[in-house]
Amino acid sequence: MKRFDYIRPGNMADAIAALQANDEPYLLAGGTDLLIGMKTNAVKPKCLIDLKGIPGIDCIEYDNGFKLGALTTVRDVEVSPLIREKIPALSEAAATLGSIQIRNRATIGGNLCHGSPAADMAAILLAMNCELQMATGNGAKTMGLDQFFTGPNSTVLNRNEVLAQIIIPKEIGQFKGIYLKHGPRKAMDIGIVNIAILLDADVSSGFCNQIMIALGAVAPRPIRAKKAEALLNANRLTPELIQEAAEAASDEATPISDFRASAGYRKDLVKNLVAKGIDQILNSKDPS
Amino acid sequence: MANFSIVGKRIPHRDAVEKVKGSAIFTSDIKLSGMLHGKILRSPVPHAKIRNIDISKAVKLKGVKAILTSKDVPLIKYSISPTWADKLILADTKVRYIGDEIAAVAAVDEEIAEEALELIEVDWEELPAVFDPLEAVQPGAPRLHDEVENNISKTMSMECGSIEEGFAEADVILEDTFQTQAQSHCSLETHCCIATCSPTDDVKMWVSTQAPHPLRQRLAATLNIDAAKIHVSAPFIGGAFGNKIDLEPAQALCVLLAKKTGKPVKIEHSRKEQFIATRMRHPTRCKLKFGVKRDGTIVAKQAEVVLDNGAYNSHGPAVLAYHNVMFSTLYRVKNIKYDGRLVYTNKNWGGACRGYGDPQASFAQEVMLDMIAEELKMDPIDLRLKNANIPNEVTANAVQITSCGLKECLTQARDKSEWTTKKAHKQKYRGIGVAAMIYTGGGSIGSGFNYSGATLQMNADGTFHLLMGALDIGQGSNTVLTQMAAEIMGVDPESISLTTADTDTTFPCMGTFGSRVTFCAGSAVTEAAHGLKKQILETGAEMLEANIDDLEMKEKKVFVKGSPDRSLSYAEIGAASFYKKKKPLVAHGYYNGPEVPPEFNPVTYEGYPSPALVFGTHLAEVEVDPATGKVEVLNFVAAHDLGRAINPLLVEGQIEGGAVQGIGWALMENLQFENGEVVNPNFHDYKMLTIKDVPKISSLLVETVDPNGPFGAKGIGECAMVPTAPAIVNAIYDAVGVRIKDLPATTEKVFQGLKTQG
Ligand SMILES: Cc1cc2nc3c(=O)[nH]c(=O)nc-3n(C[C@H](O)[C@H](O)[C@H](O)COP(=O)(O)OP(=O)(O)OC[C@H]3O[C@@H](n4cnc5c(N)ncnc54)[C@H](O)[C@@H]3O)c2cc1C
Repeated sequence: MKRFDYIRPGNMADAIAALQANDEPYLLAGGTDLLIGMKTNAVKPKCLIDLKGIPGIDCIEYDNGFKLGALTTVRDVEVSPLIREKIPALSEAAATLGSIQIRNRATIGGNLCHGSPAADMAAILLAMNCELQMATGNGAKTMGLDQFFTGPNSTVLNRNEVLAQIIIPKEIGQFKGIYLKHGPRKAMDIGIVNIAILLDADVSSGFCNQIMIALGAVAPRPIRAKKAEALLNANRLTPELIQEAAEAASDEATPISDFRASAGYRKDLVKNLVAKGIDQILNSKDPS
Repeated sequence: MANFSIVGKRIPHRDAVEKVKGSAIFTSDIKLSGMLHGKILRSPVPHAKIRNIDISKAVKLKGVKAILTSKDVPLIKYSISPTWADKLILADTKVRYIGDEIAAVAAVDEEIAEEALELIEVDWEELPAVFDPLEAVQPGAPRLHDEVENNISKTMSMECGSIEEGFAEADVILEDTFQTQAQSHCSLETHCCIATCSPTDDVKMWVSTQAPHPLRQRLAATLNIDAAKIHVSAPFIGGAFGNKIDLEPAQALCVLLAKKTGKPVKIEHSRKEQFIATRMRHPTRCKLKFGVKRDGTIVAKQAEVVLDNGAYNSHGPAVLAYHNVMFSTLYRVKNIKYDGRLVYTNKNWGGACRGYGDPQASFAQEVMLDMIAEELKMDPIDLRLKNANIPNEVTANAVQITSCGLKECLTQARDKSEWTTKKAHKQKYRGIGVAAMIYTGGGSIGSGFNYSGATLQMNADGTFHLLMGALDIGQGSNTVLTQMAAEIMGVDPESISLTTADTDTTFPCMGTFGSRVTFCAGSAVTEAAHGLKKQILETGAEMLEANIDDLEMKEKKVFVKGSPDRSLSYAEIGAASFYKKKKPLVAHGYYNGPEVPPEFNPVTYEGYPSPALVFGTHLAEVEVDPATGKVEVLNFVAAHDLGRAINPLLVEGQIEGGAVQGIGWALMENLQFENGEVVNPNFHDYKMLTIKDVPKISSLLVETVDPNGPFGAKGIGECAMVPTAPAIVNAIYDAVGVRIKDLPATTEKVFQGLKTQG
């Protein structure tokens, strides 16, 4: 690891100022991505700006929708009774990230800002139609999460911008959700394929009012399976239609082949897991 | 069963509290005043000629104290045996894999040492490289070592009986090819060493090793200095699994850097270095042909084997030999043919890795047996019972078996797992599989050595001190060996203190590997303890003026049978020996066995001499997810014939650890190479099981009480992962009909298998 300066600002304005004043600065949240990069010299920050000293940046607020501070740890998201009650799929997705030790440090903001196509919080929040609030040199700015990712490990964030808050819209409370992650292990795995599905359907008739399907690790960035969604929205969820939508989702995926898995396998997984996920939501007893 | 008071008890690991509380001192924890940090420059290319190395910029960097290139070191090649020596501690004219050592730096801290590495300029002439052993043996393939034709480091051929007649007798003949992948040892502690060198050139080393005495010898030979000038001591060891037996170039370089600077030098491998440039399990390709009778009798078996050596030998030739011996000795087969080749490739090199070639042999043979059982419509356990080894037999390849509990392992595992019921009531996507194993339980004297020494002395207060060359690398030998001494002396293990793993104070020991320590060091310890007991009785007889045959030892006292008032405490005897008789009581034990029999053929390895053989059976129950191909291991039963469990608690620890390593190798552990480069040199991408992936493991201890083992004990350490992978793979087949012949059985391979079924 190379030598670096360390700054811990006490408020957001100071953090932005520090970003502008320093050479090659990096924001530090939990450090579970950043420090790995620093130890292998993949990133060489000259200055670390630690966001953990900013009051209130790790809050979970609920007023029908949720406002999650960017520095909220993944573990806090996982165990929050409110999140477990209102949007349990988020808690379930959080529980698949790393291990308890990692989740105690990892933040949801860090997970998004690192920009990994396989990030667990990214897929589920993308399916939840989240908005992001950024603090910038020119005041606050808001954008949809679907605009945020630009490619592997890259986002729209500029050097003088800090992700402050993640806003989950009110309507999400009426959806049932599921998060399916495929990897060889039961913990400490980056997904080979991640699937997040939120479904608002009439259970007795199987009529789909609205569905959101997000795919992780199968494209340069987390994506929504728009064609699959369009097939299902305002339709009755017959096994044939689900299968057709699952295949459409698989077509939308543009995965790579690497030593972890082949592209063909990842596409097959998208198909099988989208179908499996919808089935599981339809067959789940407890309303969520 | 004999009545023991300490042996056979579930005594917790002696080091448990220190390790759990974090107070145990590992090599990495040691910091000496003025200590420098060493780093190694490694080849970034798989095959190249070195034209020139320019260190001029690096030496000028502030904080750099010494730089070594091949010009500064003895150019003496090494391997675990001088016969196979092919590796220099620093490459002189050529590098042969990504990771090959080129230069070493000592600096005031690690960061500066690393920066210095970046400033060293190497002028390369890149050479064509070869990564696949089957390509490497083709005419015209790039040659790694000038003197080795076709890149074949060693061949091994053996035929017992007549393979042709065997196949002629067979009703059914099956042929198939099986492949296994590289596995990394993944010990918690990476390689680490510290060397100091006095002005009189006396070297002291603290080092994470499995074999301090052989390490001293190899350092002496490779650096061309007297062994008496080197003192090797091993602090707590954080696991090894075979990776810390051989000399590591870093250790020799550490000594030379200490010599050159006159300062203590520490070299600690990063996890990446551990993955790319320390040893691994040899990948294998094994073509098998088996001939069987309709009743299940195996009448002929033939193996054609290629072991991928990587760039250098290390243990390779011996691993090939073990692959042969284990393959050929398991089951009673009259006609056997084995042809193996050990082939150099431009990759990281294989070495000893838990099981020493046997897991690879077991995978091929045990999956083949499953296929035969299916062909014959025979129960796979019955097929194995039909061909199982029996006690006191000499096998077709002239190996002498003494105790043998293979049949008991098979039947006990069958009963425990409810095999018969589960086979009769098969559930969709669930399956159960079995595999059996053989291994040496006490190392072997094939190389001429299998030594372990021990010294037991009585302190002046009647307590004891045990000195052993054998070392505890986490498996628990300190606990088990003191249990043996305590049983014989009639004391609690706590009244025996220990010195181990130190070349200057203990009798030599070949090291902790080969599942040999309980047997070999145990034999030395029991010999020393019996010797000391005799001395105590002699001293007692003299002091009590009694006949030695009338004396008894109990509760730390020596007394005359029938008159307990005529007694002496151990404390009285200890004090008398030191202060009155001026002859402290001390006894030695030394084991180096068995005798090498005249039948042993060092070319074919027929008659391979091992003190004892151990047997076992693993049985796995799995469930396969058809949507993803993911395999979940639901239940696991492991039955092992280990002679006697000196400490069942620690034996279970070995069995559970072995099963976890074996399941990992079966399903996901895979050191992956692309063009000679390891693409997953970290724990993010090199997948081992997490605790959440570990099934319930039931250990069954089959105690056959070996006639030659200390208290009847044999071995367990390596054995515990030998048959795991085939048991899992056979269970996958039982579950979904997908036959994996190429490890690991990744979710993708299982899924593709399901897909081709339609
Ligand atoms: C052992 C291990 C296992 C892991 N397993 C998983 C897993 O299963 N799934 C998964 O998705 N991830 C996993 N990760 C990755 C990592 O833990 C997560 O991505 C985590 O959420 C990152 O958050 P952090 O707070 O640690 O980010 P940091 O490392 O502090 O930061 C990550 C990046 O985001 C930037 N950043 C952080 N916060 C902000 C902000 N508020 N505004 C702007 N930029 C910001 C930083 O500058 C940095 O570039 C694992 C990591 C480890 C070490």
